[in-house]
Amino acid sequence: MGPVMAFWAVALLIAALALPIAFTLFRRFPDAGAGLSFPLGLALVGFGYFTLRVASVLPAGRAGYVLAVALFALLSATVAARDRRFWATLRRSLPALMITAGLFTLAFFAYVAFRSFRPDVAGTEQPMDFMYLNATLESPAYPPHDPWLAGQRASYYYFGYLQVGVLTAVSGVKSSVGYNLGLAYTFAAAATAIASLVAALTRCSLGRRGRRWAVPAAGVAVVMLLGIGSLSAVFEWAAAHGHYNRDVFELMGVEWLIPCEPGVTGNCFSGPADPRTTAWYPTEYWFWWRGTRIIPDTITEFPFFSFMLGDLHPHVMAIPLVLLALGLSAATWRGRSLLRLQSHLRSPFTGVVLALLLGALAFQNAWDLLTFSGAFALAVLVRNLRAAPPGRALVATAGYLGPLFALAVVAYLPWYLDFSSQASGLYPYAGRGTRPAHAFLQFGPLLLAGLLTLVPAARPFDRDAAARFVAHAAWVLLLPMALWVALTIYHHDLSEALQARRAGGWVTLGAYGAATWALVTAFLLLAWQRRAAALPTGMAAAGALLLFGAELFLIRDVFFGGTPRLNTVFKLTYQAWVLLSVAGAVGLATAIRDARTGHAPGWLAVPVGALLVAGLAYPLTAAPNRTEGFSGGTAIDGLAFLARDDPSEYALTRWVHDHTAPGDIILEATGRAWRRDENGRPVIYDSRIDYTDAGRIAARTGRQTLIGWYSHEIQWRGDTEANRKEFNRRQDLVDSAYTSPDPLRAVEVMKETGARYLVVGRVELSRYAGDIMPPFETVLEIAFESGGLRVYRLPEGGAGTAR
Amino acid sequence: MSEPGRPGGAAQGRELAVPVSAVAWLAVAVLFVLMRLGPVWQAPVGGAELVHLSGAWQAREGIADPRFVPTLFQALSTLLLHWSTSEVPSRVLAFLATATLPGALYFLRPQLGNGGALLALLFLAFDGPGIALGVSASAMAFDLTLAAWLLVALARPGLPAPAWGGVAFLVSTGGPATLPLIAAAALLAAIRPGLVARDMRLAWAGAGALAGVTATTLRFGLGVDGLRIAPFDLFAAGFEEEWSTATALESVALYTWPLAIGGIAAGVLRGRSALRERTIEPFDLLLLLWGGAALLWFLLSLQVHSLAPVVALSLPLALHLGPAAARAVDAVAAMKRVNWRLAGGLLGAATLLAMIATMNVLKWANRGDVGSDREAALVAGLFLMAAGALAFLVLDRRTAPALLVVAAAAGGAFLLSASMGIALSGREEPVPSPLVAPQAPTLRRQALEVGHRIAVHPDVAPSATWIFRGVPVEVMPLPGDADVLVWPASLPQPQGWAPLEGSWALEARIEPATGGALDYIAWLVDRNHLNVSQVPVSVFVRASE
Repeated sequence: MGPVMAFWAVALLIAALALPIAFTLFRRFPDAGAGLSFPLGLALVGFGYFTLRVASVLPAGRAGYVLAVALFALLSATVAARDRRFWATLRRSLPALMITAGLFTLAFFAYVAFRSFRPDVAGTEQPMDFMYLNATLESPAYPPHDPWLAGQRASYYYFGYLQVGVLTAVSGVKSSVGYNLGLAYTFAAAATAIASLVAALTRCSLGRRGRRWAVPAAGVAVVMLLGIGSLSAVFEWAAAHGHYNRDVFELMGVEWLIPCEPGVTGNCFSGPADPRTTAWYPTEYWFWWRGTRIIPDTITEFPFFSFMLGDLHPHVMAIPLVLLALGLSAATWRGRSLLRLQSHLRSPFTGVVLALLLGALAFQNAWDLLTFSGAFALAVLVRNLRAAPPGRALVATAGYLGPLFALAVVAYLPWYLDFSSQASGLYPYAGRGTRPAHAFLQFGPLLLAGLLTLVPAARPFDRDAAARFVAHAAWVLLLPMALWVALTIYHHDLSEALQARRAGGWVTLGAYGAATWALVTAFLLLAWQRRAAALPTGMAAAGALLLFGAELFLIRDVFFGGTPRLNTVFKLTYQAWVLLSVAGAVGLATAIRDARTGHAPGWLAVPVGALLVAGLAYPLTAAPNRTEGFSGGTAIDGLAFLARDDPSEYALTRWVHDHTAPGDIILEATGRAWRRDENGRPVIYDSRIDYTDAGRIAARTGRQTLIGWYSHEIQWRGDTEANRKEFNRRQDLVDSAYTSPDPLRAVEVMKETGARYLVVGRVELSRYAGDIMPPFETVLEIAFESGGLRVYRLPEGGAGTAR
Repeated sequence: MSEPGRPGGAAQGRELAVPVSAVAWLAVAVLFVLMRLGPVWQAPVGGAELVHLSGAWQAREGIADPRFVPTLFQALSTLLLHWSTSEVPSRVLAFLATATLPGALYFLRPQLGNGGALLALLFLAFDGPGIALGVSASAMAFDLTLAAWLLVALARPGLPAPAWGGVAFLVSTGGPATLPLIAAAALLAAIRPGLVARDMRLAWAGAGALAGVTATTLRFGLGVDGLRIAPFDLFAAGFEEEWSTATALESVALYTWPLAIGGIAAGVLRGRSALRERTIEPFDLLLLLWGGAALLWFLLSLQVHSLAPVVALSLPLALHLGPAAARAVDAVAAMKRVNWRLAGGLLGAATLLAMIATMNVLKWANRGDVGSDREAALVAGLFLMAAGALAFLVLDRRTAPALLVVAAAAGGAFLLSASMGIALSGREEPVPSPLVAPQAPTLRRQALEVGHRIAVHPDVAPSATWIFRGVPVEVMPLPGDADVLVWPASLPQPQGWAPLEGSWALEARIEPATGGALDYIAWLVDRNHLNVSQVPVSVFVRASE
């Protein structure tokens, strides 16, 4: 419990330190930005740590993190001292501060309790996430090294890992504990951030008389963002108990749950006969995985799934930050004065903070940069259009945003210099499209909730203005369509592309398009009427536009050859989920308020609310499945499973962490499995590398190894001939050290690569089985030994002389 | 005492008049110094001192070693090692510096009050970790004194501008214990910008700090190894290195918890009254911020194996507790309506009941297990009754002040016992530990007498540096042509070598009493009861033909 409490306390401390800055940015929010102070504080501390480490000002190790927090405290005190309204704001927002701290605490410990049933940092891409967390914590120099590619610096958006590293290091917990608590932090910070944002939007949308709706709307928003999931769970639950109507299931696109006909194996259920479960929830292993793979060849992950799975991925850790960016957009939107270049001279501190936070979007999850900095830019533009004629507003907006975006790039230049983006252009999507049923199962509840933000536009309804804005809004659909046609003609055959999209695909595209059109129209109308309700409507429109865009385009990346739109749909719909959760919660509150005051459209909240409740079927059935009915022991250390199941391997891992220098290079299995052929020569019999234990010592300790997950390195650094050649060379080098009959080969490899240690752990014994390994002890020192596992050290200056 | 302005006053003034206050200051200062005198000669070399003396020795030999952290004290210690291979001259230097601390507190009387400053000094006199660190030859030896004098400099505006250069130089070439005070001063400057004098003092301080950083970066002439800022380097190293077997939390639990609890309570009360009155003197605010920063460092370092955060916390807490204790003494003394007879009765009853129960607990502690259920229930009942008597004491306004006497007696007795443990013995205390093993001097003596070439394995080399100072030693993973091998006990005996008879160790560790409440109580009663685990090594000599 001690580490959990320490981590929680540090998270609260950093958020508390961020309050003076939050007050200056979000003073008009009901909580004065307290809910957003978690990502605000952590992002700024993380930036300070990163920059000062790159500049070699802060030392490596825990002290550097502590000093970064201390410097942030100094900055915070300075801001508070110079803010004449600080104490008044503090007093006014004290109840909201208490509620925020309570919500954070509740969400944090609830997630910790859940995760403690399955704390293992193993499987899926968790070793990769753990590797980056350890890289940020252990790297002797910054930018951090890549533990899976010795001698190279990390080429990924690792700001989220760095921030979790701040909390881990300052609280003094092990990284294997910090990993799980980082998830809990993200979960809780996302809850407080969306609650803060939605409470503010609801209050300003509903006006003074709608104040009492702010807190319920915030609560609904937390559930929408973090609680609900795919509606497929309803059908999973029914099927598990033997209830499946073939027609209904086929209509809803969940044919895979219907038992296979004899001789058929694809897209049907080939598991055990009824009943499929022994409990009230489906007990089929990881049934909930399918809830994110419903649309073929894509991933449609949503936050509840992410947190339940436990992959500490950038897009998950980015949720609080993107909510902060939306908060900044909302706060900017609500202001009255013209924002222009001179505005930065009046309040340079605000400008710098804005630039750092917007810049952090790319560093945290590059996919978020365009969407959420675009939302901010739009907020500035709309505000300026309220304050000045269009021409002047445009110039002022450019003058205001120019320096901001320039600084946002310059501040993170050390990262940009190492980052190799794998996005190589915008392409048209020329596939079959998404079936309407699948779109409904995944996004139906949220999109419909988002559409409830149309309700304020209907009251009072200005027919003439609406007619004008319907035409304006059409451009938001026509321009992408025109671009799609142009790109399709350029890259494919237009008629083939038109035919490839099935009827269902066109229906889905049409539905998304209609929703976008309606929402954009309402947004323009409300903005023109200078009504605060425009903001949530705009967010809903952005969410719908992302869904629409993901049906038309794809960003070309390393998956282009096989599953071209996998990442595009994955990342854009994830953003849509956040936007629609925010807008939907406000929309729902608005509709219910309208229904209570006798306005008919408000009753639409009832079916939408019912769908949202149906969305809770996913967490209610998936959570007990993931934890096997909340059974078994609990722990919060992500490596507790290793200590329990293989104490020697665990001891070896700890030894490497505790007794080698952070900059040391170690040799460990590449992941390829070897055996001897009939002539006694070593041959590969399994070359699967990624998603295995390859590079596990590096991942668990942050030390560098020659090569980790090959394909992931390709993803991060590009699928080029040079990269493949180099990564293969490294694999061959390592494998030759382990498989050569002459142990001096290991010494040669170690000298050539700068490696100081060679690991013979459980994985090496399995991958280089059958006495294939040479007697290393004849040329290397035994630095560690336990239960037949060893770590060898290259003797200083005298390798091989003992022979 | 003469009365000014009255006839005959001058004549009476010639009589010898010694103010009680002066006598008290002299007595407490002498006590402070005496508590630190013994360890200069008696204490074993251990903890951070062992690490930093090893670093200083390597520097003396011209060997680059990360254990040499370029503080001014380390540099002077290295110089002293040219003159003598003993640790004592370095310790004397540390002792002399620490002996000036009472002077610093004397200068703080205007801010702390005469009684407050005096009591603060008294608390510091019995600060066990402060004693250990204050006279050890570690790189942080000047820290506590530096922090106290830095506070004097900050509190007294009359310090000439050039003196600020010296202060900044000393701080930038010192250890990390001044950092919380610097952070507090920076925070104060941020909160109250008007307090910072933007004059020549700032310029001198900047120049002094620059000179200090230049000196540390040049490692006092030993060569450049990147930018080195000694306080930050040591602060960072404190989180990573093992400079003490006990953690910071354990050190407080074993030595200074009364000071910690009392100091924090005093700080909280001071903060509360400032909030209530909506006004606070800059010095008091500085003290509060300093205490807060030091407490934060300590909280972040609960599991860290270093005394630095403990010592850095003790000083501001003592400065909080001193004035609070003085005010409490005054307040209790001024209370006319305290019913000391009733209080005495309740206290006596509580003491008697608690004593009977404690005797049983001590018996359990010696035995290592709790007695029968009936016995346990009886003891719990006795403690409850004692607590009840104390509760009566607290609830009645006529007797409540007497509780302060109980708290002061209990805390004082503990501080006395704990600090005496360090001041008088040292070898049985968990501070300082890890320490040089008792057999190590024998090994060193033999090596010096026989003059053999000794090969030390890299794995045990860090522990051997200080022990084998002045002895021809080579660090190598293979026997080579040495006469004697000092090898990890886990490694097999090399061919052609025979073990030297005896049980050998270079390092010993005294594990703190953290095995539960009974273990802790057993240690309180018998401070020699701790386990001393030696880290064994093998010593081989060439086998005879």
